[in-house]
Amino acid sequence: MENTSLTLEQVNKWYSGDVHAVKGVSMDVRPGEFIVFVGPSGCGKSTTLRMIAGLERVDSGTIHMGEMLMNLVPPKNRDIAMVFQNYALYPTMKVFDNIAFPLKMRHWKKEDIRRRVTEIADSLDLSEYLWRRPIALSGGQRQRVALARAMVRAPKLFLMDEPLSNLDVKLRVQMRREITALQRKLGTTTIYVTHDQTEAMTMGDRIAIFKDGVVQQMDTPQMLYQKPANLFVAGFIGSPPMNIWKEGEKFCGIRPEHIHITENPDHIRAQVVSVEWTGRETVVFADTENLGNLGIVTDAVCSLKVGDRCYLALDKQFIHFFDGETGGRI
Amino acid sequence: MKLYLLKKKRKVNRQTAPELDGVTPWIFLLPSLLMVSVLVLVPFCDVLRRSFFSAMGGQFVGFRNYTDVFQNEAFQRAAGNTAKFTLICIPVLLLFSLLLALLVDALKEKRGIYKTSFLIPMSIPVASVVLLWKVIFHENGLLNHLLGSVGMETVHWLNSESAMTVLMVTYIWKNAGYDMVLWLSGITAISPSLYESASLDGAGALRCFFRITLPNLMPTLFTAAVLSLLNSSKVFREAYLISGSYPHESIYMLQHLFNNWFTRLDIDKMCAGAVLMALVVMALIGFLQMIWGRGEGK
Amino acid sequence: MKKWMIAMLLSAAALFVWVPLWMLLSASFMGSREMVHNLAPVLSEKAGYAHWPILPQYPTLKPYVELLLDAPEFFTMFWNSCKQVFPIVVGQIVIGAPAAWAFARFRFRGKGVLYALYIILMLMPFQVTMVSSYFVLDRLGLMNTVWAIILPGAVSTFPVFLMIRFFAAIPSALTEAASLDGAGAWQIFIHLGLPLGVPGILSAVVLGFLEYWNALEQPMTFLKDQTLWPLSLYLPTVTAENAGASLAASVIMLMPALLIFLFGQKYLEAGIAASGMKD
Repeated sequence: MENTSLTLEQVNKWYSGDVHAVKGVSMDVRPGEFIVFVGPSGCGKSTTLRMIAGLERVDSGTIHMGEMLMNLVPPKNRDIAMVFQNYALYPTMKVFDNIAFPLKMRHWKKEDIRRRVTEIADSLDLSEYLWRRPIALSGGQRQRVALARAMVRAPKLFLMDEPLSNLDVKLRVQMRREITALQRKLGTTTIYVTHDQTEAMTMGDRIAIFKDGVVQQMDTPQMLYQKPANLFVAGFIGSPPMNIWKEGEKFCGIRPEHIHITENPDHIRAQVVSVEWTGRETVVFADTENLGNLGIVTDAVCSLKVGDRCYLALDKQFIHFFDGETGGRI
Repeated sequence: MKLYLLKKKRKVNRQTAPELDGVTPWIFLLPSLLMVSVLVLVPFCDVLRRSFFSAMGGQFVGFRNYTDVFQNEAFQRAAGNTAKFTLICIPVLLLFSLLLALLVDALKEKRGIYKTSFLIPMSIPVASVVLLWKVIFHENGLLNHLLGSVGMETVHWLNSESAMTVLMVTYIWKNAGYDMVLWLSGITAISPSLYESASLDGAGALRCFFRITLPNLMPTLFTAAVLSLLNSSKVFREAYLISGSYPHESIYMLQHLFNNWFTRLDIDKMCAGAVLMALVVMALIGFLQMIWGRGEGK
Repeated sequence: MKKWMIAMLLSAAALFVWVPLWMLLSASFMGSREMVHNLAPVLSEKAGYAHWPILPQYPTLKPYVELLLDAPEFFTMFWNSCKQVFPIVVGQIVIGAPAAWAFARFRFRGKGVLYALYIILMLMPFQVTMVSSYFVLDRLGLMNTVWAIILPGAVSTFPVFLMIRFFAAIPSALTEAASLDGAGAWQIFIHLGLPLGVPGILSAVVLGFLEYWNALEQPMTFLKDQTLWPLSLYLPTVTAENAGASLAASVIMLMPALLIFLFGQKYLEAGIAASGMKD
């Protein structure tokens, strides 16, 4: 199994003349890494993925896999496998032929194809469905077929474009774990696109956060959470989001778990406007005089009710500062 | 705003050419393009050139071939008949097929049998009903028998001006199914939620029809009109069915004329006539597209 | 309006289809004596009115037997029709499907212009193309051969237009997936385009068959030799003497078209609807 590194350098993409969809994206992906692209819709993450796949032209900049320049290599020669949002299973082919298709295109021998497909199907619990058509499968099964088709020929690079967004919540959590486990086992370099920050945080070795065609920050989940590079990242990662307020020329931010409810009148005075109990913890929203509305995460046992007055202590060491104009971390 | 965007300088060097797929599409196109060029395009250019020359001497004659065609009495009659046929028959066909479509659509079950019924004539070769039509429309035929028995005057259907009526009826008989399917596809494309909200607002069936169905069918009307108009050039088949190569002069159509020119190898007139026809068709398409475009704009 | 009223109206309209069809079928089992008797006023200008019974008084298979045994020219004509129609339809698909695929799935310079050209050609009546076709066929020495019918028919751009509509509806994710799976442009067309485009191809086949089975203008113009004539051109010339055989021949000619219609009605309707979709 070969693992490849992936390097993007100043990659740009324009649509229909003047829509600048991807602006100077650069990144280094190490062999075997699981990278997640995350961001709101229209942020350029899917376009970047499609450029890596070769489905869109790179208007300027370069993409390398290992030492090889990929810009002009057609998709079929890139040795990349991709899982699409709607699975893109070939409707006229049986499950077996769907999985076998990449091998057939590479002129494998019939015997070898059969052996390999059976092997993959076994490992993904698809053996009994091999002779059905995709239309006769459930969403979860289709998802597995799509994975099997991507994995069957051990490509250099996996690309996944919101592969779980069509599944229901429970199945999604399960597949999330399965995909990460599979990737660990195979060790194939993977790029995974999603708009769901929880998916990003739980799956990625590193995460690239996109906004307006620009990578805002690319780092491990821990670093993104603890040291967000700018206001957007700070607000995008974490739920409930970071509390942000303006103080003079700069912005200040603090995560909800770093605010403590006290009874000390020296602390910030606040009035509770909403209490959300999730079972494991309680999220309290309270209005303050100078800092606006703050979200606070506290224990499941919380006696506060809407309208109650309380005092809030901010854990000073966890306050983040951002530039008032650029929003960059200070 | 747009101008501003166009003038704005870009900082990054980039490929500005539109994204294309190279030679691959041309390989797929090649067989078709080659054959169309050899069999249609190039020869038509030749026809265009010849239409300005005389076939005998080969000298340039300007528009004389065209004026000859226009002054040709047979051409005037054929063009007149064709125009008359088109102007009467197409609107009637469109209305009648719309009526069929609305009725079939109103019927929720057993639609299939009616759709099949009205489409069958499309599949019936004209040649298969030749004898039957002769027996029906002959002056001693079934139709006159029927008319006579209820005390009405009999008609020389095929050897009088009535031939045009027979032609129109036959044409509608054969083409109503095609147009009905067009209408039906337009009708089913209208979102049911429009009707639901209208009926919540208390609109009756008629109001719904004029306020929702008709306006939403405008695009279908234009396509149906274009297709029927162009299918009407095949009415020669029905005319031939009714009365062979030498029909009553009231249904002497352009195709008859072209056939006559062809038999006499009247190349001059045929070339000019073909170019004229092409121009008329293009003008009609352009005209309809203009109305169509305006309809879209609303 | 009440449901039963609608059904009545439609049924009345449908009679205009079913009655002639029934007349045609039932009369084809009429013996020649009965036929001459019934149709004499029309066929030989005798006085009185023609009569067309709902059922023949003495039904017989004789017209068919006579036609099949004693009229070798009928076989020739039937075979001529097949020799012209099937190659046209096959040619339309073989030449047209790749072209339609190019229009539907690729970006290339001049696509808009070519597409417009194809539509214009599709809308041109026979009168426009007949002279130019004649020049080419004459130059190639193909006048008065089956090729004079097949070649112009096979390059018709209508099936291309129809198939474009169906090919364009295939989700692009499928072809993208295939290209990442290692398939080249041609393999994608063969493995995905053609199987997924089957409804479009069948629409083109059904519409094409009905059109050319019924064709009159082309054979009339380009075939002088009667032995090359298709049924569509031959049947109207059958004279009164063998009206019986003529009706049987009509029914036999009708059958392939009717069968193709009944089996392909779904695709026929889809094809008509597709030709009605606007760009």
